[in-house]
Amino acid sequence: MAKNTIELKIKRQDGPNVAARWEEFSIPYKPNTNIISALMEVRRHPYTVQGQKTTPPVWDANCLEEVCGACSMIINGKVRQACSALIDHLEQPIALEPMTKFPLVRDLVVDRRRMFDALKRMHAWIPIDGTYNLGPGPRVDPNMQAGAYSLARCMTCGCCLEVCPQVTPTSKFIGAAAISQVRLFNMHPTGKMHARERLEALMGEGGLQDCGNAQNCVHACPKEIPLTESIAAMGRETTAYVLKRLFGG
Amino acid sequence: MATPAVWQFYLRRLHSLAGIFPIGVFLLEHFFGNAFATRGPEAYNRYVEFLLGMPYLPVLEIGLVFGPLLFHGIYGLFITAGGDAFHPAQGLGARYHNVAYLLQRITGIILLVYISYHVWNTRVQAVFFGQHVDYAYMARYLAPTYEKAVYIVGILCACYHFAHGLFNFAYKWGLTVSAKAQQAMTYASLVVFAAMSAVGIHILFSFK
Amino acid sequence: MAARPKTIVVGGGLAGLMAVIKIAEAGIPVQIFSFVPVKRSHSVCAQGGINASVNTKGEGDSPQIHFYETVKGGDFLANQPLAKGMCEAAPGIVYLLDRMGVPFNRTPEGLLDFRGFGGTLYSRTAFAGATTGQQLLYALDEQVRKYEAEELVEKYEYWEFLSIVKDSEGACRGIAAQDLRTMEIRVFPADAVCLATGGNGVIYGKSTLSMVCTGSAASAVYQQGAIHANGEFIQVHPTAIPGEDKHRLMSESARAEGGRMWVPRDGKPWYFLEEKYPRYKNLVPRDIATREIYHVCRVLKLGVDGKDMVYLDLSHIPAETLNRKLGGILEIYEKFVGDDPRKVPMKVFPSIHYSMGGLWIDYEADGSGNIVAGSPRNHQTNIPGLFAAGEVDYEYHGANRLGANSLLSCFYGGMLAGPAMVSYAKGLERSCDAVPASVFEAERKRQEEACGRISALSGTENPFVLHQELGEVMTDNVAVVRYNDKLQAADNAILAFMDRWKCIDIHDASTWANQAVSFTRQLWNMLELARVITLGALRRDESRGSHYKPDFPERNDGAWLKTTLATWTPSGPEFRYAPVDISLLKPEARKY
Repeated sequence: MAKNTIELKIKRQDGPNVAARWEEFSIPYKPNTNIISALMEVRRHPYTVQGQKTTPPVWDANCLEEVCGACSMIINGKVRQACSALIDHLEQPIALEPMTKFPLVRDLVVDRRRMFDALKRMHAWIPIDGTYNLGPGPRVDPNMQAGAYSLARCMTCGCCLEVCPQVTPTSKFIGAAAISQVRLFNMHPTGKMHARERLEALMGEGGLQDCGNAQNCVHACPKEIPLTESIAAMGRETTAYVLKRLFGG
Repeated sequence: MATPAVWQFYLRRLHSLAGIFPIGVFLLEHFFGNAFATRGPEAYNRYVEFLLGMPYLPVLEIGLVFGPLLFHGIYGLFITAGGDAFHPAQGLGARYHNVAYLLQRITGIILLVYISYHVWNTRVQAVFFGQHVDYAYMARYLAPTYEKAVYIVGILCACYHFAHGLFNFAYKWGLTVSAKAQQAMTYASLVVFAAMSAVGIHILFSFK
Repeated sequence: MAARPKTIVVGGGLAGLMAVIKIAEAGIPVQIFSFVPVKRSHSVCAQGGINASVNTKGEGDSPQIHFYETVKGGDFLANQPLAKGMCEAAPGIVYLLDRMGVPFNRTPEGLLDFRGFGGTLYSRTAFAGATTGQQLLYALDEQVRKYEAEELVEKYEYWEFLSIVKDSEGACRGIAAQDLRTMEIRVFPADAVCLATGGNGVIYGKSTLSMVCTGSAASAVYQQGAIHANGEFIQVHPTAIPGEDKHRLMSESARAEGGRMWVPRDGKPWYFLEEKYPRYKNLVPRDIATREIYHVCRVLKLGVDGKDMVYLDLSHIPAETLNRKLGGILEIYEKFVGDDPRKVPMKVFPSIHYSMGGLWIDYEADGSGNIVAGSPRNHQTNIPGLFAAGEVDYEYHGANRLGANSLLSCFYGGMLAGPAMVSYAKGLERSCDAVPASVFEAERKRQEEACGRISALSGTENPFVLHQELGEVMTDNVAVVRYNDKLQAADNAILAFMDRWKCIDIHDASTWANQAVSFTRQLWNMLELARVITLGALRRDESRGSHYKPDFPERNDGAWLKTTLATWTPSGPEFRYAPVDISLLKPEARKY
């Protein structure tokens, strides 16, 4: 069956305190295109199926290669990046909605600041003495590098928070992404030296303990980061840390 | 000294621990002891006598059973209120652990009601109203079908809540880290659920 | 001079973040402005790696060879002291990144692994899978976050840079910027400002660049008097996956790890690069590979299925090796095309990729061509107090950039710009706080009025359609193969777009998160820069690096070994030319 058009439904909302509405668009079909191309086409011809001229939909995007994390949205009920959502694999009409766990800015744009704030609270960095030339870094086992790389690909896109029942617009839970980053930095030879600080932060408000073990995060992660392993690994590290603190040694 | 926020971490861990010890251990003992009912009235009544004759009984009952149960139950309500179990996990459908997350909370709430009911009829009646609880009383009390239905629901909820609690415990405390270990623990917890449910319902039908 | 100078960095990619780190390390507060959260900057798209002559493979590599190959790769148009400084600093830079926790691939002994890359025969490129840029950016993002937690760095994300604030002497004293949520326009005083706003590939519509790489910020300061240099040098990457929304890069590392380019000829694979360049084979510099592909597809008509496509073949390499060293890019191909490159050859075609040109910047070198560290001249534009670093500046790469040198130049540029800003700010007699408030207020008003004019546009044109048409004109006429008549036609077309821009219909009256207004403003800035690129190309009658005119097929050092300098005037760019610093290496024929 040859398709001639792409049918889109976009949830529009002009601002955080305004009622949402759905707008439908019908654009010419092209093979091998993605949601971003469709949104670009709508911007070029901002007319709804009813023939009404509308404002160009507002959406977040940057790299379009699924490495920056900007264009996360809910596409046919599933949270994912719009750039890697290929039209040919989606059932039409394709429904586009903003993520629900973050404050809405406009249309498909949300404010994911809480994720960056969490990284700040978790001390998600390797402390270095300075940027002057201090010679090579520590030697690293290639296997440890492979493990670290798989965690380091987290692009703070927000999918894992969107699917987490413990993350709500009002809850303080930092979510799987930040927990996994603590694991990343605590396994680095230099980062390890400051593992305590991160564990303390991780045990603070909205920290590791708020995980409810629903394990949706790992299935939503577009980068296939082993998030549930990270959460359990941090469970183990905090257990060891607490026991050590209680009993010494 | 720990900041107030850190107490949430310890409370949550204590909650998880309390579910296994002493509550889980008590549950196993409770099932095992009541299983004397399958050996007939005399065996069961001897077990009841043994329990009632234990030294420091009130301390044991309050310290190891009712206290932890109350803490686990009430703090569990706070945990439930902190999440949004009914929010659809976008596009992930009915994945087991997502459903289990919801079930753990629903069974927890049912258990709060059920255990209160159970304790009222089998323990409060004995301690405060002089009711002699023995095999005959239990058989009479459990005879109506609706009572059996209530107990079946209660037993299934208790077994599931405990079995999945084992998985949660292993995950939260970091006993099972690899995806493989977590998968194995998931299956193990389902086996525990099935086995305990069978035993529990067998005991229920042993009072006749 | 105030006790603590104020500094601003615009752009949160590698160069911007490195400048921020250098400034914060000196204990001086920095405000950083970025269109997107800095962790989502375009640097994430860099795939292959970062060059440093560490010589861990016992090949006899050295920074001197790296320097020579960089200059030769750039067809001798690069100012040599900066290129030399960069190559010499490279090993230290890679070590620093390693200390920051970048998960670089390792040798079995646990040392940094290096691979080969285009334009060299040495293993000189450190890499983290095939998302090296992402990993480098994250490492810097994390270091900046540390300073943010210490309250030395203040981030303004989802803010758009509009212009610099110039005082009565013409020095830069701060910036005007717009909050892209509330649409509020504010001015921010600063003693030194650094633009690190990246490239301008979006002028070509579809490119390998991210959506924010419009060159708008560079164009804005160009219109305020900053000199734009070598704009005509635009790198076209030989291997990208053509797409409807953008062309996705297929990293040079695919060829570095053994990927072979071919097209079917007489029923057999023809490895056209290997045949013509037996030494460098598939790893000739990008401009050369790109022209060969054009030749194969457009002249010989031998593209795959008769289309503009050639094969990039990895299918002969074990899947395990591919996953370890190229995982990230193979995933991109799988996700966006649907085929598994471990099994079938990938179909690729050249795409606009990188701007060698950019804002003119100064530097200070001593008698032997060494950069004077901490000199306020380093990376300063012709506007006092305004600095530039990263792809937005014109230095390091001459007429063509070698693969894996861009991450290096971003990093090195940031390392020079940061301290230069600090010394400049400390050396000021009068701090920005002493500048009359009216100066700032005037700029804010000017920007508010400009924004108001855009919001009021109510003609018939659609800004996004105009942009698409601009992209087509630029790609067809100002890309790989350039002819003077076509370049002239392109400039005429741009002038027509400028007229049509005035007839845009904004059709979005919202004063909240209005992307149409922001895009329309950037579109004008793109048009201004498009003229710089096109007219610069029209005037340069020779072929050098990425700039290729069949009518002038040879490099002409006598007439054109010079830097193009464009200055904005109301009637279009005015061009002058400056000599290139070739004090260290004498130009020679560029043969591979």
